[in-house]
Amino acid sequence: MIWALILFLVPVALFVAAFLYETFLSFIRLKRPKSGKESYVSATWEVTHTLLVFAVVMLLMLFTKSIDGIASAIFVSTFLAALALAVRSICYLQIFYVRKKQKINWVDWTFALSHVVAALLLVVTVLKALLFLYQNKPDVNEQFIPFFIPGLILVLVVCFVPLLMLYRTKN
Amino acid sequence: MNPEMLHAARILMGDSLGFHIIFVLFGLTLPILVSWFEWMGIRRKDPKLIAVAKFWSKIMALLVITGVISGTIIALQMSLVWPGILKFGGEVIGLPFMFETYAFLIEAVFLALYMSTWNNKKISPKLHWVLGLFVILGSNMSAYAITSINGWMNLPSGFDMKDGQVINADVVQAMFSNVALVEFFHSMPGYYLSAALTVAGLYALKLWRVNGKDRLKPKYNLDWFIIKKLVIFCAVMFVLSAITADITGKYLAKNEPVKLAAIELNYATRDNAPLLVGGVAGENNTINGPHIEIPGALSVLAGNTPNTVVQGLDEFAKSDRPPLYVHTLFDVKMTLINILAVIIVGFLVLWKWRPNLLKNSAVLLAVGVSGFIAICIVELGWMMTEIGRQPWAIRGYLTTAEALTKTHDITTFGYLFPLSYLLLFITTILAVKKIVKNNSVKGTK
Repeated sequence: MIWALILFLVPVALFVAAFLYETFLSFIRLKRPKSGKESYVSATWEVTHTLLVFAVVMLLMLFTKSIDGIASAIFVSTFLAALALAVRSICYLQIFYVRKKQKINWVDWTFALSHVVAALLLVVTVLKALLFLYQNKPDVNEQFIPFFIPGLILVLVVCFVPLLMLYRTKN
Repeated sequence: MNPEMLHAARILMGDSLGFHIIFVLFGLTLPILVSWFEWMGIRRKDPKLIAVAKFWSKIMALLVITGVISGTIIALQMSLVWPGILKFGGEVIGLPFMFETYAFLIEAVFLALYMSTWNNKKISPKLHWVLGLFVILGSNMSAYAITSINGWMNLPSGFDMKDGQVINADVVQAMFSNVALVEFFHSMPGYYLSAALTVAGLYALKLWRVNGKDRLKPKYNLDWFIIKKLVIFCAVMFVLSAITADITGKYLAKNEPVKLAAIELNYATRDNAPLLVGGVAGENNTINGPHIEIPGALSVLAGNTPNTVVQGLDEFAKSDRPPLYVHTLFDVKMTLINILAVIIVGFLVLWKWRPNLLKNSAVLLAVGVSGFIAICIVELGWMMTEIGRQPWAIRGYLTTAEALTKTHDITTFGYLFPLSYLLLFITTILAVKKIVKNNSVKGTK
């Protein structure tokens, strides 16, 4: 159980940190709009999403025997968060790729607020999942862990320096 | 089970997959094309080719932004709308889902690094090119993991059943099964072909809009160079697709006979089974509408000789048969494949023997629309695979209705997600147009 929780909660923590940073930047740029993408962390966009997918996959794959209950607990908040992330993507493309003038308008506000909405819904999702795990203490698919952990260490070694470089750059 | 809810869930999943697969095509192919042209540029010391690679990489990164979000939504839908699949088989097939996150992470990190180090003086051109190889590695590993899950749903393996429970789970066998390999090696050339042809098609359409007399002027040499290289790439992929399609046909005959019978509308088990072209399923095992039968061709497809016995729909209960309109999907797919073959072969023949005719508007228009045709073929292929497995989610073990969530009505989301896909698609197209307008590379080659 402890390994399962680590594999779920560590990517959640990393995602929260990265996403809060992006949320912070999305609001900062409302006051100080710049002309290009330098006002937002476009380079880390996919990496941040990866952390979210990582957390979701760990939660669901390690507890498949109780997936009915987990899915039921997190269904609405997760889907609403996914919609908020879709809105965020649409606004991102509109702001940084499509429109000509970098003048702050409702799209920028929607973009910034979509971060907040998504973050809140994801927090609700994580809390509901943890509550379910605490109350039901479901069985863990431990047969994956011997395969998964060595690979994870290898991947993190490969990706560590690039990741560090990426989060220090803004374009 | 409320049939309307099941229908809505199927439509939602179909919309999501149909939308996402377009970005998968480009996410898998553009890294290869970008690396190829970057490598050519480095070897030939040609900044124009490197500029082309950089230009394409900007579109690649943009499409990833959209693909990531649709991929995330699909991952959630797969788990939350169809929890029965993972409840039944999660302990067998969960590993590819987990490995997919490795692949995703590698792709994401190196794509971001690749994009942010163009023209970085601290990184040599060759090292930059190597970073691109990791993007190819990550995207293809990810594709394998997901394809292996789909393969497992089509032909579950790597476990035993006892008292309705999965026991003796062999997660490695499930992930690296024959069906996974067959599906992967059939899908990949198709993806590469369709995305590369779309890129070639866009360059062809660009030339098509130019006055006919000017199309062979030196300033368009680079465009011609790109089109020719990509069409050669597509021709190779087309041949690989054809070879793997033959293997897939034999695999279906052996392992998923009901799907093959539905696709070919083969009602009776027999040797010398004909291949049906045209026609739709009628009442009482009849075939309506204009059609022709090629004697023995289905048996040859299934086992290389006309004597091969091919199982027909008569061996399966009606409740176990997929919807028979998959035959029409197959006919449309084969028609489009034949059109594509004519376009690719025709282009290569003209290039070899009548190069002056390449600038003909009809030729350019044909190449221009070929990418769209190829994408339709990929979509139809996946529709046949998924609809052809019905009524099963995990063939032989779990029906789609049983896999659906019992606790939530997804009908509302069934409207909201397609709407968000539509908006995402429109915004993505506008963004691609903007990049093309601001970054396209001009000049001679």
